[in-house]
Amino acid sequence: MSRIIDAHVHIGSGRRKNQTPEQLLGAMDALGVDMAVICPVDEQIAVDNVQGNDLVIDAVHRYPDRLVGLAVANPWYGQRALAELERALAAGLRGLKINASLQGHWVDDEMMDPLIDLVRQYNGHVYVHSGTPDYSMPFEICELADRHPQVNFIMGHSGNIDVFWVHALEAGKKPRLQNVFFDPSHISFLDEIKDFVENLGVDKVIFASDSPAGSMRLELEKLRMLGYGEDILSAITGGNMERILGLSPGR
Amino acid sequence: MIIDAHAHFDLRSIRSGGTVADFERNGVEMTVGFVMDLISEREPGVPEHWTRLNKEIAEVARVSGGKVIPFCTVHPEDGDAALAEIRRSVCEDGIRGIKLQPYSGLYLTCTESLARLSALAGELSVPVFFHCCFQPYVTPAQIAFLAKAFPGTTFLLGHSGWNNEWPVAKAVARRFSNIVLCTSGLNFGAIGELVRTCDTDRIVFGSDFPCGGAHSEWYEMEKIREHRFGAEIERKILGGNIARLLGVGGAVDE
Repeated sequence: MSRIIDAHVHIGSGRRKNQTPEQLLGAMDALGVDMAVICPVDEQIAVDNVQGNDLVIDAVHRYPDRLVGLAVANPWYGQRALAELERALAAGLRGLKINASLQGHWVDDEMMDPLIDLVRQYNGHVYVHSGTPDYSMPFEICELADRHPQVNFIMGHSGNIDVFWVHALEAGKKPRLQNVFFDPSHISFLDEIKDFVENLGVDKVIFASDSPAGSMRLELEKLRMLGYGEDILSAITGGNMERILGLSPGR
Repeated sequence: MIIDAHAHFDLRSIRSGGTVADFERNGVEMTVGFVMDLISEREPGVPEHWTRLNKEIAEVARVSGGKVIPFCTVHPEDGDAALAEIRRSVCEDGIRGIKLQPYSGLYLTCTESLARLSALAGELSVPVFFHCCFQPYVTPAQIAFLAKAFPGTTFLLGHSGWNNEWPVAKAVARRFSNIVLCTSGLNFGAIGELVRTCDTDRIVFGSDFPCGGAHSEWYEMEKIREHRFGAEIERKILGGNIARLLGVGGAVDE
């Protein structure tokens, strides 16, 4: 049986999201979640990148068996963004979190390329918020991923910040990008999640809660209500993420 | 009493008994009902199309034994014919509100047609329920213009701007007391902030049933319950507010 891994959680104190690592670990313990991939919140994603990354670095150093960290680096900072990302990756973070709508750029803007290439050098992955026009939409994320085939991308919320899960599904099909994975957090129409599993493959869907914006319990529970057997459920709730993180399979 | 403020029905599904059984299984006792076929709102110029659909949703309500509270729909750019159809639906068929989906019908909310429709809704004391999200034509700010111009008409924001525009829905709901927020599709954190910062008498639970299957209604309810807002707030959001607004389930709007 694979670990249960939540692929997208926020820690820190922001305008809308507030969660300490200890609050997160309490929720994980209550739900049997083994690991979580954490990133900063709100304004720390947008502008205060160093402050956000320091919180995440501290948390993963204190709880190395439970927490994996993603860095943030607003590309408008140019060389400073690149230097900050390198500092965070060297300190043990495992990739990059992008929220282009918060950061104020098109997600596939060429100024992203040096950052993604640095992630590749560290063998990390990228988690991208999706579903906010015009900056952060599924086809544009797939365009970015297509330029960086050696880096794995998780499409956060699969476009479902609004009704753009259809874009995510179609973008995932045409062409079927091997390095793009889909997180169904916040998808309210639960049958749509089955469309991702059945059209793109069980290996492409990854559990994430977006806690505290999402409820970890409900995001996990809704996957269990889809009616899949243990093999498929285990792949979605952790097996696929184990591969992306390079973890040996199983608890 | 739990009332779902946002669901879709057709006669075939209601006659099968399956849809009523689905929402009863989730503990929902009554539900606002819109027609299923909103996509065909693309075509103005065929007002009889809306009459057929509105008669169908009225029949759905009858077959459901009163569990479905019917809302009509029209294409506002049908002008006088649209207004006549609303008046007929409300006065003859017991329709309790108007559902509009401007992004499907490709019409604006800032037109004379929408102004006349909003005035009529106020005159008939029926709310106007908009599909409201990021899509062009239906953002919260666009609907707020109507709310400001027609303070005697109640405007329900279905999806409350969804997960991109909900902060705008929050802002306009705080400004205009004739705006009511519907939780369907909103993320857990957004619902929490709306309840903490807006008038809790003007927040209603909705699921968009049967989109996404029967479990979707459960998920939408649990996003509210998981917050543990307390019994009184939960009672209002899960049914008390829409009951009061529509005067159903023994509730009276004061």
